[in-house]
Amino acid sequence: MTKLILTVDDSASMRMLLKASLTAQGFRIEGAEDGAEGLERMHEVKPDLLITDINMPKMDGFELIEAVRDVPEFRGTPILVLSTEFSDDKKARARSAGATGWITKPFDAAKLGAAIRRVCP
Amino acid sequence: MSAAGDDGLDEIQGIFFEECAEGLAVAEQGLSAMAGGQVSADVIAGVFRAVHSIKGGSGAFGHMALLAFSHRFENVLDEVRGGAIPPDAAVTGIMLGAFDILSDHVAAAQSGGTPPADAAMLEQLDKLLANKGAAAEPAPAPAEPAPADEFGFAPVAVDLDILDDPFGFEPVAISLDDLAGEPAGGWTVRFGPSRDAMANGGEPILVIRELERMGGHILDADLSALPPLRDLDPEESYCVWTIGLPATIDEADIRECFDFVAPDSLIDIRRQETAPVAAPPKPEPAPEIAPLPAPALRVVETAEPAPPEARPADAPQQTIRVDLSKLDQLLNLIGELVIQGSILSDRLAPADQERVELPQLARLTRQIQDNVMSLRAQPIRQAFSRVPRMLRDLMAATGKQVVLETIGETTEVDKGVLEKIGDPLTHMIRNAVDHGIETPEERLAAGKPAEGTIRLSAEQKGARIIVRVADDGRGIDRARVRAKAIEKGIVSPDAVLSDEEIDNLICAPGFSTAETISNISGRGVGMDVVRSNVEALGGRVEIHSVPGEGTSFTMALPLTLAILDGMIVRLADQRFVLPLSNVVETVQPVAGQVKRVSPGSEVIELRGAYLPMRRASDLFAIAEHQRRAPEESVVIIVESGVSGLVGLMIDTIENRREVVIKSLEDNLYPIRGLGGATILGDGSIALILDIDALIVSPGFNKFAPKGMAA
Amino acid sequence: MSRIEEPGIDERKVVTFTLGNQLFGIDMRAIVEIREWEEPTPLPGVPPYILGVTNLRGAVVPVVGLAERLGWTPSPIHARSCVLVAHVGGKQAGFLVDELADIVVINGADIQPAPDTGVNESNVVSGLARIERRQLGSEANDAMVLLLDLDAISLVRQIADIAA
Repeated sequence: MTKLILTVDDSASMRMLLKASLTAQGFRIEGAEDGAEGLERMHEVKPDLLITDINMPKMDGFELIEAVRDVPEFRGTPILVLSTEFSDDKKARARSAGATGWITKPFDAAKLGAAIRRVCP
Repeated sequence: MSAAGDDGLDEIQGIFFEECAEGLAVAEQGLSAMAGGQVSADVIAGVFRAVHSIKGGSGAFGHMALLAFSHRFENVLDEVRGGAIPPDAAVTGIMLGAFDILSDHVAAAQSGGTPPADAAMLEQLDKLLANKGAAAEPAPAPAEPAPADEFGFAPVAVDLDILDDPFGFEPVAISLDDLAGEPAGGWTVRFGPSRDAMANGGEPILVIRELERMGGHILDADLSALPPLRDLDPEESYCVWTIGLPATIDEADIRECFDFVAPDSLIDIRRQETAPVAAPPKPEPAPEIAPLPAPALRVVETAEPAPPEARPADAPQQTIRVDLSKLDQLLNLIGELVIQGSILSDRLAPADQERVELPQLARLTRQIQDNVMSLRAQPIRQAFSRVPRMLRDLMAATGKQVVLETIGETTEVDKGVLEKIGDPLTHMIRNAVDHGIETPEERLAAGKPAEGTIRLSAEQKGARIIVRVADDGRGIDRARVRAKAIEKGIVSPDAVLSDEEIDNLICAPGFSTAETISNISGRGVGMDVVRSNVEALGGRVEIHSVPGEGTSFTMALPLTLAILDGMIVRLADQRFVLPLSNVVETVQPVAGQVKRVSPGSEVIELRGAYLPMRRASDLFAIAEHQRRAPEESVVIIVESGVSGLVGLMIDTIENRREVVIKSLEDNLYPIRGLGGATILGDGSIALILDIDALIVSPGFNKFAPKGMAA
Repeated sequence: MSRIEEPGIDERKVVTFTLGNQLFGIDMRAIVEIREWEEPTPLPGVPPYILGVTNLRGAVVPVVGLAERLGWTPSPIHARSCVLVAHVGGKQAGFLVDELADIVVINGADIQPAPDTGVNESNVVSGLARIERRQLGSEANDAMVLLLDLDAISLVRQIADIAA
């Protein structure tokens, strides 16, 4: 059964890139364009993996991750942050919010795949 | 296959550039607001996010110059956002300059042209960062497109507390002596996940599988710490694995596997100097994901064409991206529907025409048409957005000071109009700065503030959109304009012209005022092109000027473009369309009702008043033998914006019909006096008359048609 | 995306026609369709060589007297008159010619630079090619074809036309 990944990013072109790359790797993809919508979609589609950006309007990535982790059902869902930033304190913040891992943009398709394999059974 | 992939990537990149355009608009608005004193956190955050997004995508699509510049710009914005750099006037000025360069970068990336020279601006940005004094150092700009290293969470090796009393699980230890086969110098990795490693959805076992996929083998699983079941904490980790990996593997790749593992886990990677570490039970091959061509992102197969991201229609303010060409197609089809409805109606007997279904059909069609037209409507802000930058350039080039006021940006305009309005707007702004606004010294001497003001406004008035560019400059120098017009042979030296007529001479073809002060303005085609462009859209340009006080250019544009309620009239063997909005009444003249006042000038008497009248047969040079006397003709009383009521004499009226306007510009160029053409039900072409231009313009008498087959 | 059908061979199909006594050619790739002559709807205020506009499948397309445009005697209208509808600079236009001749194949290598042909516009004639007898009707000899570059035939109003 193909895995479902929810991608959250306010840039439509980035979501499309991700979708193209990940579908080619055999995943099914759902998308959302900000944290608030991301949270809704989590409940709707219950993905196997959440990939989210940090800088987004309405609800940023950190808030989204915290909100997702608050839901008991999603405590164990792997969450990857995909962002252009890579400072240590941002990463620490993501980790304490509950992220499983972090990937920097621009991403390499193969590395993205490897990262997904590392967090998604 | 790759061709399909490339198209997919092109399409996605196209969306990226659209997003860049939106981001730039947001950033410019925000920066302008900041320049105007609004420095709220929201505004700054908005600008930061916009530039951040542009940066994000630029790397993904390989636009390195754009990436490098936006990265530096973003760093500065980050500091402003964080409060380390106060957004005072100087800083905002620099950021506006950086914004201009960013726009140029985006444009260059999109067109594949040369990126702008940005060394000077980068220096300024660096200075800002150097001077700010706060802790953050500017993050180094990524130098090349290679996939950024995934730093992950830095592993820190820490010894675990080891619990006693294994519960009968035999440690599956494999003696190192039993092993053989790995080349010398391989790696030994000891991995003991911490409690934290299992939090946040982490799965240490996946890391191990990854290592196995790289060619590693589990050499040892130390379960000595495993407690009795009753004491087992399911969220705790008690195992330490030892994994061997071949020497050919890069240490960096191994570390990368532990990217996401909690920092407090045991991760010990060391080279095996001596004994071979290797090989036994061959691990089951983990499910292989097909290797992708590295390193650049390539879309090998697009699973589906990237569709516009539609979303469920429950939440308010949902938007959907639609291809403009699809909308145009829809509009064309509706136009055809409208026409067919008209033709159908014509075929029916008058009694049947009254039946409720027909007007109902017409009403529904009209509603669909209005809805689709409104889909194409966009705020005029898009056309206005290029003005601030243009103004900055003009001010720099001319040394004049100008403040821009914008009113009515949200006024919605048909997309077709929006596209065509840009050039006229540009010309009018240039005119205003070049010829209207005086230098600061001149203004002060005249008792005006040193800064001139240009007011750019848009509003909807009835069926028209009124767009105005008004300045408080010196007004039109009528003596000079008149002299120039005489010099160019546009008017005769002894012509008596009203102020308004002189003002309109600016738009006469071939007229262009000398001494362009900035090299940006006045390429020789100027206001006459503006006027013809606007007229081609079915609009009008009016000029109003008060010497010493200022000038205003007003464009009146139609709300909707494509469909026109028209009156089909016949002249000789041709048919023409008169916009019904201009028609006041129709008259069938009796003998004597039309009188000749002077050579070339006639009037028609109507209820005691005399209205000027023109014969269409004169306008279109109809052959003598095809002309009709007034008693055999129809005079249509039309209302024009400038000249009031005028009579136009044609042969007969055919009917009233809604027609789809086909712009002459599609394949030819705008023609003064014509508002386009339409294709009638029988496939023949009827020219649409532009009453205002036809009746009123100073060049009216010169409307000598050539090329009419006799 | 590739436009060359036979890789390595620079052959093009060319529509040939006469204007006056001269044989001209236009690359087929620029041609949209060839239509029978139909009286176009005249336009006011245009130069004489713009004969009017016509309805091409719902688009309003100008009809240009090509001979007139190039400064020669206007083409006579007769039973076989036809109009070549072509792409010109992103737009479409129909060109009236004297007589349609044949569609021939010309090899790019055989195209020579154009001589001074008395055409009153530069760059309109893009080259000269020889067509062998066997491509034409049996009675014809080898012929010289002047190749036209339609994009160079601008339909934009000339300044002279504007000033009335």
